Amino acid sequence: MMNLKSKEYNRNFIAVILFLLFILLQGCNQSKNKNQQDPILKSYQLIDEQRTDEAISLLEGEILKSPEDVKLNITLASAYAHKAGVKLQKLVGIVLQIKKSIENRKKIKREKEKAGTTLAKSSKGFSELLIKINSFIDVFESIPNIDQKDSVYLKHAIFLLSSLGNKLPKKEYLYKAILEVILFKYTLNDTLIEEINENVLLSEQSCKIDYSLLSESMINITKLYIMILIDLSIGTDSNYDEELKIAENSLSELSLNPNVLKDQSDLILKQNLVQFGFGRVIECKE
Amino acid sequence: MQRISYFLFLFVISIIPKRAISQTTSSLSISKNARTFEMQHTTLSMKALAHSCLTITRVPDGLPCNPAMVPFNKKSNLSAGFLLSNGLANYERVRNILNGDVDQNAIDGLFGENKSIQIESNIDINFITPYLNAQYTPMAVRAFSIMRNEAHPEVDFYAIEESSYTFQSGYEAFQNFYLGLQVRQVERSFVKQKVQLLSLATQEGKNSLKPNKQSATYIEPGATWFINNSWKPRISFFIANSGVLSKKYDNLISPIDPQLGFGLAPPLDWGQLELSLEWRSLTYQEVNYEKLRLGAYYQFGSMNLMGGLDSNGISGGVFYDIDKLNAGVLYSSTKPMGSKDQNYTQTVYIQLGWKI
Repeated sequence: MMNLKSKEYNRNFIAVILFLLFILLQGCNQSKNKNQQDPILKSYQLIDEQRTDEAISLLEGEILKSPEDVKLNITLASAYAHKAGVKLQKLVGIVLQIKKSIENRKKIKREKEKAGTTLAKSSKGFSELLIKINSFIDVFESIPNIDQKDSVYLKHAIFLLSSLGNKLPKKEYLYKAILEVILFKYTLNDTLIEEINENVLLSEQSCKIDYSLLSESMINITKLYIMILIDLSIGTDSNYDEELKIAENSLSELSLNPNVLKDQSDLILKQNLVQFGFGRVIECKE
Repeated sequence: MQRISYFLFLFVISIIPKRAISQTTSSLSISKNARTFEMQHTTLSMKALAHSCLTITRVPDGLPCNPAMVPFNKKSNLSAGFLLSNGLANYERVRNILNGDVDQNAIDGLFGENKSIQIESNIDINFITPYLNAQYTPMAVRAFSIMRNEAHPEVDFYAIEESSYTFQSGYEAFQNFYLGLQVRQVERSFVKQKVQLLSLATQEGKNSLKPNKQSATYIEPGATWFINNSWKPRISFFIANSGVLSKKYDNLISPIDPQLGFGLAPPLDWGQLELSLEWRSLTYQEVNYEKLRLGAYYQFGSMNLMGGLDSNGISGGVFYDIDKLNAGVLYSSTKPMGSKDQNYTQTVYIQLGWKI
């Protein structure tokens, strides 16, 4: 009797052990497939581990398989932005500052009235643009600086987002605008503003402005500004029609009448000398 | 007894194919918390055991996981306990979001500086007898957030606040075979979203963090079969989350979850040891092997040492039960031992309680 009972218990134990083995085998079978981690999640991990090149390789490989995948393209753009040194977590506050700056209509109106009494009428649109650009100066210190090498990656990131066209989700326009703002600052720094070289004596007579380079730079900056306004208006559901109109008018003036800059040359030269130093557009003989 | 074991075996075989879940869903997270889950309200002991507690006869700081174990509580008592994890700095901000107060300060505070945040806080009042157990939880708050891709951050965030009543009863239906029933009534407010950080600077993004509400009543049966042996082996099963919900949400799931456990209590000269191997889901997104959990519980006098291991990580804790007061501390980590993985979460929990 005791042996029969003990045999029964042994069978029960065997049944339990078989069940556990069955579960483990089921799990092992599925674990082989588990190693195929989601590529976007994997790329996030690589970016956060500062292995951006590997993330870019992974994403470009996946895009070859699924070129229409919007999420993959956006993640690839963010990888290039990361390669340019953009870490957006710290920059979220800038979005609010930019909105506040653009929406500060009273301040712009006051500056517009002040500028209207001293500048020629033909260049009024351009003057208004200068004033509006100045209103961004408040947030510029928060925007990260990038170098020429970084700017190449950043331009490619913006290109990737732009190439999605209508497929780019509305909420991603704000991200595109942020990248464009960073590029905007780089372009301003590179063409108009540099650090003062204290060993060089500053003199208006020994410096002359390269008007063609200045004109080209201002056209590029204005176009970028227009892109920022358009993307901000889509991404934040805000209305920047007034600013867009001014910028587009300025672009027309610059394109059709390059000499408008000559009227402003003294103003720019003085401002650069006094406030920021020399830029590439100004050639100085020592 | 033979028929019972074969029935159990067939039951398990029939449910495993239904539980097959796409492997990508469970891999969509990096570095989740090892012992805090949005739909699991558990005590310090249960967390220490890696939630492998169905076959544990007596949980020192709360109700047994399996209502079939109710008859094993020989002493009646009324007690209260308070559990807290690290991450307290974000407690107010999480509560504000759960109250619908989603302003820029709360968002900046939660997501501006930190890559991950975590918090769990529970208050339980327990009434335990050999025939009926009851638990009132006036407040249980759990929150976890992880930010990925610092170039264009994506935030995976959940916060949940619950209040609940739980009743348990159990009895010995046949020799060494116990049946039990648990009834839970839960009121919860929750936020569970995956959003781009930039979108939180817009009103639309902030609106996605508005809380949802849900009421649930669960009726959950359980059973345990003890096998006559010096090592006291036992097999338990439990049906979790069977009940009704006031409203279903796609982003907060609590499907019916059959759970199975196997336990042993090897005889020791000093103290009591219970080992438990369990198959249960905590996130309802795991693949099968991720549902396996191993727990060990050693009691010596008023000291209770517990440890647990599962696919989420490791945990170890100690709980002291001295007269009217009790206290415990638990450490858990998602980092496997010996791993050089830099993405992991460590959590420390403390629990204080007293008996009346």
